[in-house]
Amino acid sequence: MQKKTKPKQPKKPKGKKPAQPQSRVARLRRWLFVALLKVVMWTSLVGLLIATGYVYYLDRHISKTFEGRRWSVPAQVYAQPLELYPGKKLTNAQLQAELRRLGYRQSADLKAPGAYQPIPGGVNVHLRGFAFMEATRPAMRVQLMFVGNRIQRMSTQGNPLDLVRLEPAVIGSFFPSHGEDRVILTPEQVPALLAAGLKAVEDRNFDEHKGFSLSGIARAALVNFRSGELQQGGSTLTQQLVKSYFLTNERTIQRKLRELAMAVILELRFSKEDLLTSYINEIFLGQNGARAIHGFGLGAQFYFNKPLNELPPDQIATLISIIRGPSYYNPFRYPQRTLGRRDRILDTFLQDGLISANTHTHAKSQPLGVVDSPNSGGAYYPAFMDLVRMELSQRYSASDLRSRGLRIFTTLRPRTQENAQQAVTSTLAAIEKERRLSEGELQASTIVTDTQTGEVLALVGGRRGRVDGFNRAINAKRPVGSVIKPLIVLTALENGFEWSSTLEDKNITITPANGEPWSPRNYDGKTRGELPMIKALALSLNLAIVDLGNRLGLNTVQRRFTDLLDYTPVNRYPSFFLGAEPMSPLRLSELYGNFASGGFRVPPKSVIAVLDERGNALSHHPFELEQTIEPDVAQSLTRGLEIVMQRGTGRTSPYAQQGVAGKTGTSNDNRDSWFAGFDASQLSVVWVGRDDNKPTGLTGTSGAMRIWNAMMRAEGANPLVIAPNENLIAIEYDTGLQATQMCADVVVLPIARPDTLGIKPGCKIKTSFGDRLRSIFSR
Amino acid sequence: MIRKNTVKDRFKDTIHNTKLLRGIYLFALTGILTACVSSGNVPVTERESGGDTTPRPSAPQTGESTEPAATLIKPPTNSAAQTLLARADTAIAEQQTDTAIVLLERAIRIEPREALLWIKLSKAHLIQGDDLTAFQHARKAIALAGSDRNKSAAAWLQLADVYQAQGKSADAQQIQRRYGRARG
Repeated sequence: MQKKTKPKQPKKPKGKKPAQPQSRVARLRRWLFVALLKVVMWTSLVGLLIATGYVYYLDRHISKTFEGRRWSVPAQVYAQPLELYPGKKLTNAQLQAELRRLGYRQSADLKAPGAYQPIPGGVNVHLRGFAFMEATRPAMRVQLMFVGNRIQRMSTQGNPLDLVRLEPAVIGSFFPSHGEDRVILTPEQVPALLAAGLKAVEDRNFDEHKGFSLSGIARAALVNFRSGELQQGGSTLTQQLVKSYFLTNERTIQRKLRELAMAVILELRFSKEDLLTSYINEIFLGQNGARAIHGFGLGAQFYFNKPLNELPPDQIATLISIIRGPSYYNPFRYPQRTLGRRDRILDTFLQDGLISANTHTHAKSQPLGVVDSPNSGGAYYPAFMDLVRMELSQRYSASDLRSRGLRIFTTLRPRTQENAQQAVTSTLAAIEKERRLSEGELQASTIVTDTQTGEVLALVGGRRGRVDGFNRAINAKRPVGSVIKPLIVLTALENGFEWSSTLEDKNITITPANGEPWSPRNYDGKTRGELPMIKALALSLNLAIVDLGNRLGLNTVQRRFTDLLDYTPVNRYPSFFLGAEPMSPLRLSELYGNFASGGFRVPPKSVIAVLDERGNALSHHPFELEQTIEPDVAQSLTRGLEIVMQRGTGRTSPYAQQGVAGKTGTSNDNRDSWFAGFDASQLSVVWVGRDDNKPTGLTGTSGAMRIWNAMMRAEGANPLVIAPNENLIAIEYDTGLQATQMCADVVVLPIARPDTLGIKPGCKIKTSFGDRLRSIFSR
Repeated sequence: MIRKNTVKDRFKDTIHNTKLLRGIYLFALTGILTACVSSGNVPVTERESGGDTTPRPSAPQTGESTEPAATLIKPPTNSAAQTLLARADTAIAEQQTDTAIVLLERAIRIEPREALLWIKLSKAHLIQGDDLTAFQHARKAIALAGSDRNKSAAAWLQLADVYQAQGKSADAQQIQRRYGRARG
């Protein structure tokens, strides 16, 4: 109505004497018109401002996210490389297993790196190149020949080779900023077939469109309608990329519009190549426990245990299949369904001329080819990574860690790690079965270190090693029980006691100055009277050890604890002598490192060096050691711990007689079962218990030591060597008197002052002049 | 518990017959030379661009000419450790001690109880001015050398070098007198 009258309005001013009621109506109309105009103008202005603001906000938001992800190259974490040299103890089968672990494939065609071919008595390998810490080793072909369980000789192109190493396994990659796990590729590293294939399958107009594609949506709708299943999505790659940045499941128009706006913004700001590369690095490809698999680099490792550039067309097609629905097309759970989609994608590749007809036929004849289970693809050791992160945060500033493309070299030995994990899993299952415990009741953790350097070779934080969770090896502090006893014995050896010294194994009640009276008991409740220190340690007799501790003094013993570990014990009461001191397996390993290394404090260490993008060392952590025990005393303690294995609580181990040293431990009411043991090369600490801290019924021998046995079975024992200068003397096990094998049950141990030894009557031992002389010189 | 500066209690196994030893050295040297001649093929090590690319004979190249005691010491038994030790020597000669340390640590992972490797590692750290690490590594070498007199002597002399660098000349000279190396 108003509009109709509008044309009349301009005429109004012309009328000199307009009628009063008419002019009032006209004025009202004019006023209304102006008001409306103003409202419309203001609204559009405000609307425009808000829209601009929103677009600006979206732009900031998406560009920042995009830039942030694009430029943050994650830190790569490497395990120890396997060194190969003639004489090394390694079988042909073991080497091939290592190669497969690194994703080498068996093939007669060794033209490209990453392949191996068994030959009679050996193997030919085309090693991948790798930038090691001190040098870059190009890819090379190597022949290795074996004799028995050792490498006999190695050669490259006919020339003998005396040392070569496999490239280290990537055991993790994380963004120091947001902690996620990726294998980031640069545009040059993206295989051409993947780039072209993605466009062919997911977004045909990718190279032309500006972030969205109406024809794409129409075609997808048509295809889906025809096939009756969700074959194609209408989203462009750019839209999918945006979606994966802000993963939510809400399906609203609002979200769709926002996604669309962001996609358009990204298209305006960045090149197609950047967008495609980001897509390839970002897209969600599956889930394994708490671990999300993002990006094709990690996807190739997770599903095929290979670097992306080694995937054949059929496997590239499989990865592309998964994008549409990582759980629907989960190749582990629905292999047939995934295979079907893979084949349709291969058909598309053929139609688009991306692959030849021959390749197509061959690719379609291939099985899915994924690794056996989600847990076998690529090396993923979250418990060890906890230690790495802990060490990094202790040694580096946050800004150092934020620099891009760090390479972190660690001490992990994948084979040992796998063996330790397997030992934990299988032994706990066996114990639960034997004792009719409910499945999953027991927990365990273990840490394996190199005896001489303290480098952590393996770390198991719980029975489900590939699932992130509570790390019992680092964070669970439990009373250590009798595993502490070697510390008391060490203090004794340093304070004039001998293995033969007599201790009293009898009931005692101690009332500390400001504490409750304490009456310890032996594990079996019996007392044994007088016996030598070696027997007290071997049989882990509480009363005799408390007697020894009392004679040495709690302060003296605890001072030694602090010397060896660099911290003060929590428990200031004599129950400390029996291990009423909570420690983590990691800490206990540090204590035993002093013994296993021959008297040096070698704190467990997992990071060898951190290199920046250009290969310069941000830092290199040299072998860290500090002499804490005189070498001959450390040797003597080791001999005593060998007797523990041969004759004492460790004697049921199949390795008891093979030159290994160890000590069992059991905390009150069998809540914690411990074992610490070492041979010449490896120190292991094992804990078994329950997360709710209830009794398990297991002793150190029947729990933790069994896991150690299983680890030794897989790793092989490397016997301790007795140095020729040790003053070994046979003493009677029950009395500590000098004796011979002929006249008594003896153990052979170093005795610092043989002249002080009593002699067993009837053993016909004469101290010759020479012996006496030697005893003087050996002081 | 460790009396770090006391050395006199460690001298017990140094008394030896020099003439006899000289004979053993000569014998060992002859053996090594024979081994060199008989090995027709020259083994190559990993070709690493940053490292030493020239093929090197497998004969031990331990020690420097200024250290007669070290020259005649039995080399590491492991050929891979020998190779790495030789490469570390080259790196030290080229003043690339960082590289030398990486190579020696690699060698120690292969043969952790070889005193010679720890002696060399101590040297490398000393060159870098890290006398505390050098000190501990020399102690480690002494502990590992055990009753091997030559290795033990070499390890003690390395400790003397550390003392020297720390300004503890008296301690250094005491060791040097005992282990028969003229100063300078």
